[in-house]
Amino acid sequence: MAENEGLVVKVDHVSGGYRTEGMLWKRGAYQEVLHDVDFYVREGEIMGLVGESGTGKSTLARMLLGMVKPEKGQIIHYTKRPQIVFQDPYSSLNPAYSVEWSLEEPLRIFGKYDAAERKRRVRDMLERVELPSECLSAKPSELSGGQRQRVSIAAALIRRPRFIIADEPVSALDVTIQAQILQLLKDLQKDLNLSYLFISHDLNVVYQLCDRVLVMKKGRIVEQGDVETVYDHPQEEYTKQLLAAAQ
Amino acid sequence: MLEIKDLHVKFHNRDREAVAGISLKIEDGEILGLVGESGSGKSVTAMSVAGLLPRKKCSYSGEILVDGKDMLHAKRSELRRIQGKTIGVVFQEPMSAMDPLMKIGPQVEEALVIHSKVSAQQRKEWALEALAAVELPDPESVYEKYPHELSGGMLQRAMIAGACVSKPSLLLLDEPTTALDVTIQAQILVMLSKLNRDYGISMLFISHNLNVVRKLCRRVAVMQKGLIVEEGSTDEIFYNPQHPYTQHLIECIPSRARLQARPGKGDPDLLLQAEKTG
Amino acid sequence: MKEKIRQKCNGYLVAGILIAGVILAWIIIGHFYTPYDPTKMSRAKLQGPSAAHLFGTDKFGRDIFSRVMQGSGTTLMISLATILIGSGFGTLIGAVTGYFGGIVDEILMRLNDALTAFPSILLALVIISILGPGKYNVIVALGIVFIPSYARVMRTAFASQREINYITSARLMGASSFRILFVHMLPNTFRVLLPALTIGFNNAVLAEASMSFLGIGVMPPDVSMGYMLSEAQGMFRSAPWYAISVGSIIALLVFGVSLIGEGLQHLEKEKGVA
Repeated sequence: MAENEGLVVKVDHVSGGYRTEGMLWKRGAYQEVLHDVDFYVREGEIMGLVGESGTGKSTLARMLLGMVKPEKGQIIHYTKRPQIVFQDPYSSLNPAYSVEWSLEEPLRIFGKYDAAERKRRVRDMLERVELPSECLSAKPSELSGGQRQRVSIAAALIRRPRFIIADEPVSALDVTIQAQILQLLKDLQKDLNLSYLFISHDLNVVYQLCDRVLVMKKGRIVEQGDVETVYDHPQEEYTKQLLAAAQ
Repeated sequence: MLEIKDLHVKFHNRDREAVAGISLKIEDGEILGLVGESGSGKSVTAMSVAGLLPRKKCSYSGEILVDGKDMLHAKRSELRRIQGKTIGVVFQEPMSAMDPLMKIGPQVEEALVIHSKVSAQQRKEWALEALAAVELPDPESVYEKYPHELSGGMLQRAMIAGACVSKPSLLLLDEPTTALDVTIQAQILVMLSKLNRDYGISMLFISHNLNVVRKLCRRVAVMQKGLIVEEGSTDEIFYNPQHPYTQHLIECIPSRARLQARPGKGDPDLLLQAEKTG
Repeated sequence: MKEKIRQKCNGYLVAGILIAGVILAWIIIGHFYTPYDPTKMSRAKLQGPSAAHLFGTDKFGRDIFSRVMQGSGTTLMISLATILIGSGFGTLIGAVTGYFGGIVDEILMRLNDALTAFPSILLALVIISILGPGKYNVIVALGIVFIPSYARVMRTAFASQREINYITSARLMGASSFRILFVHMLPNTFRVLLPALTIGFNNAVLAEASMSFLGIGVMPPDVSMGYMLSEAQGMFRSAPWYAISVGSIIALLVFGVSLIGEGLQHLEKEKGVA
């Protein structure tokens, strides 16, 4: 196998962060959040990313989406632009529009399908995320948290990206709903042969879903490998702490 | 300590009773876990116990006895005497429960200002004591900080300190760790059990996650659709659940078991087509 | 059931629509039909209210009822056009500055501050003195005066959505800035825009009245509320019914529209709770 074959993304020794808000003519001060992050995600693979809040997990997500530019190193995408599923299902759908509109909008923006084809794709997606068709005309405020998260997943997938970034997609949900959404993510991954970067602070959830895992601490990847290996034989003290807390 | 007898609560704008007749008892120094999904009525129960029900917007019946006083039918002025003094309350979102423009110290002291006539010197002493009891490092400096300068975990500790400062006999904890990272969650649970052991504070701990409740509580009540479907010692419930809903809740706890994909849904033709055009 | 009905229709909205609706209907009728020609003089001078002249007549023997009917139409037209210009440009400026931020935001907002610093009537007076009086120039002048307040409100409404996840998603899907601003963001600003429109409408009615009253607004043969008020002032002793009828129509219209605004806000609040 050639070195870069079968990859969806390669993150090559990336460092980066934010600039604080500057004045009119002065640039803001640079604050580095990520230090020398280096990993790749294969096709059809679910990569977990664990670490406490404030370690730069979300910054990494924004960087992979192209919203923040890396200062050093480079990110190479081998597929279409990735899409994101957010943690908070309350803010990821536009409150002014119906579910149908929100699902159709990415296709309208894409502009290659006619109205009938768009409707067909929306209905197919709705079936895949196991929502009844009555949901189409509902506004987000009329849906439960779990239903909203299903719609957000459908909206992210409707243009059939190959790579999805899921930023704590189940952290705001009840355990019972969590289990359903995780199962859904797993099913979709297999059905559509997707790759995920699955961000979570819950190591058990990561174990259930992911093939490999990155452990992040203060902007550095301190450990990475197969979930089985990392969970059974953690090398870093930090990983051991995280595992102990998840018991 | 706390006794709830046949509590019913129904909000006027809902068809179903939020709480449909529950009875609970917490002994002195006990921690009771109340588990259920959102909408099961567990938060409404907590609100009723704290005397925070919007009385005009709902009808209610039953009795809630806190140290022998009925919280459900008490007058406002009486309620105010009990709130914060006998009962401390901690909510899920520490960020929104704190006043962003006030330093941590005065906010922790709030209950003392309202309920006891002690000197400012004494108040500060007690507040520092409470901040130390919730295991915040360097209470003196935390006292002088503003909420935005603390992390979520530290804020939640400060909230708990504020609820404990007037040495209440009952602490209501409504999903206090849900918004926090797993590692911080674990630390706070340990801290809470120490508070219970050292000060003898009874607690009603509400969560949707049985796994979290298991680490702290000796007794658990499981709530579904306004009713308590199962109640018993934590071990009984966890290892030998009787009610199907409890069994379902336990199955849903994230554990070390790999998920297997189920057979595919949706239109396979569309999938193939998408592969080609996409 | 009762509660549900009470939830759906709140008293403010119903009362407001009723009051404003009646006056609106009356004004619209006045556009096509008035009992007398509003500008025709007659011998029946300075008559008090009667069956023939509901609001009486002025010192030229003109029917005040007919004059108010037509004059309030002019006022309504000016006020509507004013808030249309004000909110339109205000929304445009607010959208651009709120969404993009940066240097454009700085410059436009400082300019906005400078405009707000002038008392609005003074600013309108300056513009009128350049353009000259007349009803279309009043619209232009008041429109410009009204832009800054809308720009400020709308800037906040747009800026507060900038970092919300659904906007981030739309951007990731490759939506153009134009589409994000006017398809994704604009509908979510209505909850602040609608009350601002009703308040703005009332301010416009009053601003037109004060300008015409000062003689820098509508010119004859057009009549408007403010113009009639200044007329009525001259004959307050001999025909007090003139000032009273004009004044009460203005008051009622403003009151009705305020109630609608209040009602809309309550509606939004309830939606937010549910």
